[in-house]
Amino acid sequence: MPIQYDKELNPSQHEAVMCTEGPLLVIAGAGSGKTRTLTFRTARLVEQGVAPDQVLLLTFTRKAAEQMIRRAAALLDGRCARVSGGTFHSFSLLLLRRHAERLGYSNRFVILDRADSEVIIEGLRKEAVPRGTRGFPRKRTLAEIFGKSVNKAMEVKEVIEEEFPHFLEFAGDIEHIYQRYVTAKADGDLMDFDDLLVNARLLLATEPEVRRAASAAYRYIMVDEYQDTNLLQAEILRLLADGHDNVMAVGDDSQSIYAFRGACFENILRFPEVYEGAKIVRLRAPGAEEV
Amino acid sequence: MRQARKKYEKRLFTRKEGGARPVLVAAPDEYAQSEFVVDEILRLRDAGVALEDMAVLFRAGYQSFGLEVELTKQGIPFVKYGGFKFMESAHIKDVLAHLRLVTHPADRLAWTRALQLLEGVGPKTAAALCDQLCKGVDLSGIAPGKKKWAGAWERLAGLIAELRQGGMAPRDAGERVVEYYAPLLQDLHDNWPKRMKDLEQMLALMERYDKLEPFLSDMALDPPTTSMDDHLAGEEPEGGRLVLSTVHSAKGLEWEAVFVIWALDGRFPSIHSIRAGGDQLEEELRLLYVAATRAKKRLFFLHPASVFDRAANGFLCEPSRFLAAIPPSILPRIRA
Repeated sequence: MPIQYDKELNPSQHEAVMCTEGPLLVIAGAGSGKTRTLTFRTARLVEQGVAPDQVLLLTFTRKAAEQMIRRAAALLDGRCARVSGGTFHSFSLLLLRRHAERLGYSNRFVILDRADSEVIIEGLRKEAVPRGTRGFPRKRTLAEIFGKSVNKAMEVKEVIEEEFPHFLEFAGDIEHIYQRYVTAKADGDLMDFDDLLVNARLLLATEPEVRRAASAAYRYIMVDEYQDTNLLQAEILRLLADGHDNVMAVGDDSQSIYAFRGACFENILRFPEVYEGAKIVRLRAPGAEEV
Repeated sequence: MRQARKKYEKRLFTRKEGGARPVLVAAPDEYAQSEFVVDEILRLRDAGVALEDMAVLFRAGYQSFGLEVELTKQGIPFVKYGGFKFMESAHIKDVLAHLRLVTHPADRLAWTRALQLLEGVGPKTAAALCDQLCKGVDLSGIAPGKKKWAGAWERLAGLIAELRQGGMAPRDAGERVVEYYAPLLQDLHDNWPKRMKDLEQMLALMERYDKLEPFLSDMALDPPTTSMDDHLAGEEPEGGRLVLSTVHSAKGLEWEAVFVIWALDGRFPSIHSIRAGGDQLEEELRLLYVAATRAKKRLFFLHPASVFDRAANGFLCEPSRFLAAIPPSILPRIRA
């Protein structure tokens, strides 16, 4: 039996689900049925005849994507299970495992988890800082500074000035360690989490062939929790949608909680500028009483 | 959320009826806060709400330690999200290091880790061996002669060579490594039985993979983040487990009843963000909003009424400023 969208969804959810072409921003307050909307829209696209693997669902955790894809499959049929889903990081990894050679890595490069990064940073810190130096930031803080610099697109020095002014006297040494860290990763065929995003963006921006292929491979892109994406992720999305602009971003600016890690909730405010002709739908659950 | 400066205007409504109003509970101290939560959870459970439909949320992982003690005393099973460092535990990293050497023969970090586990190999020897191995010298090219670590190296090289032959399912490769690693683990850690359980959990995860590389990537990108209270690990209790979670890890989830503990000005928002003001304080507001909107029917905010804080050099006694701004007609105040 075909899905009865008008019975299953309220008017605003229905509007978002039926709007399948072109850029769409969905503002979804808490409890407004965001997951339901994403799930039905996934099913709708496949029902319309879009090849499932051309639909890409980017979420904050892999589990969230798997869950929505499973629910969509239950709504429509098994085709939905072949929808591509994951996080920006896992998507970037997929792209890089195929094309990292173009950036001077091998396609088998090693992923550094946070603890691995700290081991490398600690080695460089020991080399750069004379023993007994007091008050020099520890490896974890250094990793944090480097991470913020990448995710907020700021110079290391700016991050220190803005958020770690008590380490300003060491700014030169910290920048030096950062440069060494970058080199060590390139020499060792290593990428940390941030590099996955940085390099995926670089690949899409500088290799038109890769960009065209990726854009053709994923013709319909949906992004959940858009308020918690950072600038790099927004750029990856922009490049990926090059040529079709079939992007639906869902988010709630009131629920942005990752600015400390570089999330840029202005991404959601800027969406209509970045995607010309973007339609905006506000999900609402109608009722009487305001909370 | 009208307190926020930059936003898309929204008006939120409810059409749920019969849910009780949220309340703000002032408890004399942390212990009383825990006690209130435990009592209320037991009351709700008696009224038919399953434990898995209730959650306790907090700003930072350590804030639930006191409550965990009380829950354990009362025999309330729970699972904690966020803050669990599965990937940072040494034994997990040790085993993964060996597996990484299968897919990437020149993984210097992995070699360093594996080599330093060998008896008689210190940082210097490990570094020298790494230089050779990462420059393409193969396993048989290492000649330890009569060095103290010759036997141990032979076992390691044998293991890696076997794993690299290919054709082994990830789970089988994992078992081989754990078999090799178990005697080393027993020498390293007194609590090795508990650590062996973690390794078994990891082997169980490997079963879902038919290739090693995706498993290793997933462990780096998306490692397990939950840990069970261990007195009841194993069997799933009826009605499930109460959820304890940081607000960040609760993102996107919902429960019938939600308790937000430590809703104390200076803790949530933190002293740090109060001093920084601006965007940092705004993020705390959104964070509290996320916490509050996880509740479907019942919502409790709690705070101890007086806590000494070193950073503030004084006592914290007021509820979160974001809650203080809500009139008592909407958010009634009660004392525990």
